[in-house]
Formats: sequence, C-alpha cells, structure tokens
Amino acid sequence: MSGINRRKFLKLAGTLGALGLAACTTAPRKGSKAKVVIVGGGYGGSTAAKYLKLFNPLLDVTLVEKMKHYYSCAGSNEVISGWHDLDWLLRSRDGLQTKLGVKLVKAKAVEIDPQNRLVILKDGSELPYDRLVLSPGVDMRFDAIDGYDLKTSKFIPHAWKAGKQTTLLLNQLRAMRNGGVVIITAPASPYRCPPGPYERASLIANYLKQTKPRSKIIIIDAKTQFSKQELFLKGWQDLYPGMIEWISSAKEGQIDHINPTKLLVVTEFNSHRADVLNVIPPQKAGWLARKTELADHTRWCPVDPHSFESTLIPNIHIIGDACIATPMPKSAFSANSQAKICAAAIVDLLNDRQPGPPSLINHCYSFLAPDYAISINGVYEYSGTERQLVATAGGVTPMNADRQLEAKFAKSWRDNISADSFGG
Amino acid sequence: MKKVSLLIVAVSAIATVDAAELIAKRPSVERMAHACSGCHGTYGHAIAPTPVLAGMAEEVFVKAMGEFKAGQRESSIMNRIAQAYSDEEIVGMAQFFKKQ
Ligand SMILES: Cc1cc2nc3c(=O)[nH]c(=O)nc-3n(C[C@H](O)[C@H](O)[C@H](O)COP(=O)(O)OP(=O)(O)OC[C@H]3O[C@@H](n4cnc5c(N)ncnc54)[C@H](O)[C@@H]3O)c2cc1C
Repeated sequence: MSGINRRKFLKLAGTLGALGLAACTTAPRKGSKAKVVIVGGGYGGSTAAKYLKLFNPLLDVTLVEKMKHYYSCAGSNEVISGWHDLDWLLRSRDGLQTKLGVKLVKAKAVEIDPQNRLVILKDGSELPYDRLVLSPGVDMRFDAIDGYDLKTSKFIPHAWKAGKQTTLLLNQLRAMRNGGVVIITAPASPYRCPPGPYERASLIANYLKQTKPRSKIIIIDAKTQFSKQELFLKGWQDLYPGMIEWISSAKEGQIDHINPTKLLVVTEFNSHRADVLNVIPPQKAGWLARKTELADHTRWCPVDPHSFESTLIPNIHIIGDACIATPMPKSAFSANSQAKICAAAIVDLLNDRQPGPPSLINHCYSFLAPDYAISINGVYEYSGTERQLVATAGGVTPMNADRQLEAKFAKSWRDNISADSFGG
Repeated sequence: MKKVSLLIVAVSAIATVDAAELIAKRPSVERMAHACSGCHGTYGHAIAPTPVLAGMAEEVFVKAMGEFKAGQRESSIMNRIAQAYSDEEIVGMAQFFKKQ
C-alpha cells in the first residue's frame, strides 16, 4: 500500500470505527509502555518532552520539530536593540536526546489521525501515539489587516517570530535616518506576549536615543489599555522623554488599512507615515492545530486545565500559545508551566489515575533599558465555580521598586527558563 | 464536663475530615514546586544569581516564604508570588526542595 492509499485506508477505517462498524484502532498502551509524541519543539513542547522523561524515564517520548534551528522570541527585542547577536537566541534541544533519551525527529507534521492515533510526517511516515502533545505556537493572521499579508511581511516585518524577521527589522532600523519615524502596530488581545510591543518600543528607543536621537516611535494600538501600562509610561517619561507616543484605539479607532508601498498606516480618523513600519498582526493557533479542528471559533484551542487535554478531541493535549488558558497570558513562561502540568497529567492518565488540580505560574519581565526592567506575574489554580483557571496571587512591579534588581533577575530568568525548557 | 469534651472530640474529628477533603482539592505540592522551576531551575537547581532552592534547609525556605508573604521581607517579585500558598503548602514545598 502506498503512503497515501494507506492513509486513506486508515482514515476510512477510523471513520468506520467511530460509527461502531469496525474497530481498527490498536488498544492504547498503558504505563511505561505508552508512546507519547510531541509536535513543536519550542518552549512548550521541549519542556513537555523533558518533564515526561523526568517523571517516567521508561516512557517512549518523541519530539517532532520542523525547523533546524530554534530562535527564542523571548530576548528578541534585545537583539533588535543591538545588545546581542541573533545567534544569542539559538536554543539547542540536543540534551533532551543525549541526557534524557527523548527521540528528536526533524520533520514537519502534516496530519493527525485522531481515530487511529497517528501523526503523519511530510515524508509520509507515521508515528503512532497513545497521547499526543501539540505546542505549535502561533500563525500570523495575514487576512486581518487590509494591505498586510505574507508577501508584504517580507519587507514590512512583524518580527513576532524570531529569526529572519528579527534581522529584517534590525537592519531597517540601522538604515533609518536620524529623525525618522518608527511605527509599531499592536493587535487586540489575545496574542503572543502581551507586553512585547511595548518592550519593543522601549528598546528601539534605547537604540535610537544613542544613535539617532531626533527619531520617534509611534505605537498604534488596537486596544485602549495595555500590560504594565503605568510602569511603561513612567519608564518612557524617565528614560526617553518625548520619543514614544502611544495611540489608543479610543483616540483613532482601528486600522482601516496599510499602504505598503508608501508605508502608510491609515486609521479610522487619521493617517501616519513611517520610515520603518513594524506590523504585529492578530494571531491564531498554529496551522496543524487548526487543520485538525482542535481550535474553536476564536481560532484558539479549548483545553481542560487539569491536563491540557483538548475538550474537542480525546488523547490530544495542547499547550503554549495555541491553547486557551485564560487568564494566563501567551508567554514562554506560561508554556513552560503548562507543559509540566500536562506531563504530570499524562503520566497520571497512562496509569489510570485522574489528574489532580493544577498549579501554574507566569512571570514576564520587560526591559526598558539594560539596567531597567519591570514585570508582571500570576499564580494560577483551577476554580470549580468559574470552570477555568483563576489567578490566586500576582501583580506588577510596585511603582517604587528597584528596576535595576529586576533587570538582574530578568537576565537570570533567560538562563534559567532556557535550561529548564531545553536543557537535558 | 464529659459531655463537653466529647463534643470537642467530635467537632475536631469533623474538622480533620474537612481539612483532609480540602487538601485533596488542593494542587499537589509537586505540581506547585515544579511551577517554581521556570525561574529557580529544574528541581530548584537554579543558575546564579537566582537563588538555588534544591537542598535548601526547610527552616530557611519556610522563613523566607513566610516573610515574603507577610511583606516583612521586601522583594519586588516574591512578595507577589508567596501570597498564593498556605503555610502548610509552604512547608510541603520546603520538604520537596530539601530532598533535591
Ligand atoms: C518579541 C517577543 C518577546 C517575547 N518575550 C517573552 C518574554 O520575555 N517572556 C516570555 O515568557 N515570553 C516571551 N515571548 C513569548 C514566547 O516567545 C512564546 O509565548 C513562546 O515561544 C510560546 O511557546 P510555544 O511552545 O507555544 O510556541 P513556539 O515557541 O513558537 O514553538 C512552536 C514550535 O513548533 C514548531 N512547529 C509548528 N508547527 C509544526 C509542525 N506542523 N510540525 C513540526 N513542528 C512544528 C515551530 O517550528 C516552533 O519551533 C515573546 C514573544 C515575542 C514575539
């Protein structure tokens, strides 16, 4: 049977199975004999692979990732400001294989067959699973802003995925004249890294202040308020007076369209011309999750926070940016924390135990200058009455707190989250 | 007298059952502790300058968390986080990290 025919056959068999006519599905393996496949080797997927092995070293764990190199988005604003090279963002997962025995597969997963519990790779090969974890991250919604699509993004960067896009924005800033205008457009919630656009504005200001001090940054926001707003506004006033202007949608409405050749952003009531334009479009769960119909009408994937198992398709868990874990933000920290709850729950489920209540943390730092950082955090639990996660503690950096100390811990966090997520 | 003390015994028995049920509804200490490793490293083995929790003496952990929670010790970060955990949970996490 050729790959395609076999796949078609399996699909048919699966459908028949669902109808109760034939059961082709192999019986699920239990305990240490089980196979767990993870698709997506970013912060979420790598952490899940690692902790599954830590919790049960005998488990058969395979991590599928399509990209040869993973560039961390966390830290990418610091590369844009010129503090580090792009390579500083590289994260290696080799230790997961050499030290923990995770099987690393470099391939794109192109299909999931939930009936027969198979992940199908681009070359047609199939990976059977008893439990599947998806951490595919986000895709940009290139249909959301008139005038901004995949093609335009090749010269008007979003830089919301690290790598080539980061370099593109960096080079444009380097080439800009003194006195130029940088425009950043920020999307409505939810999106990857809520404070990210404002950290980016701060760090671009940090670069421009030293090299092209007559320049300006305008943030055109789809929202009327933003993460750590008071702290950012105070920091901008102290560090970069007059350089950063934030335009709320309450003032100018939403973006009507973008004129990519003239670098114009046209809002409902105004229009702005940029020298460097950075469009951060709205986002949606990564392609494979949507293709498998794991996403709902919001374009994100609903899950049970006890296990991060999909509420739509059994035996598939979704973590990280792609899942709905309200009120947790879409961050590397959240993805890491969710991965551990998911891993513990999978080990429970494979041993016929009901996963206990979850406990999670998010802590997001933002730099405004090399020795100036602020943060927002939350501790999360499941609320039976609200039927979702709730924050039981947390908040933002107190107004009078030591920003230098936060910067010290923000740097240390990068080392620790990287080791905890990717290191064996 | 006897009646009263019997009553006390009965009431405290009920209280114990309630507490046990409550604890079962709480996340396990392991699940709580693994959330810390996002900053404090896998099983508390942090890279400096973030404090290493692995192997930390129980009293040191409990005292620090208690003071963070009560706002007696200032930290722009831990004051916000420590609030989430009960005194018993803090002791549980202290025991978890001590063993690592
Ligand atoms: C500018 C910026 C700054 C940020 N700063 C911070 C910060 O300071 N702190 C913080 O906590 N977070 C930060 N974030 C957010 C953080 O980067 C993301 O939340 C995090 O990467 C989410 O992890 P994930 O596993 O969900 O997705 P990702 O890390 O994006 O990983 C997804 C992986 O899946 C792979 N993949 C997708 N589909 C397939 C497929 N079909 N087959 C095989 N592989 C596939 C992709 O190649 C990718 O490697 C920042 C983000 C940005 C943009």
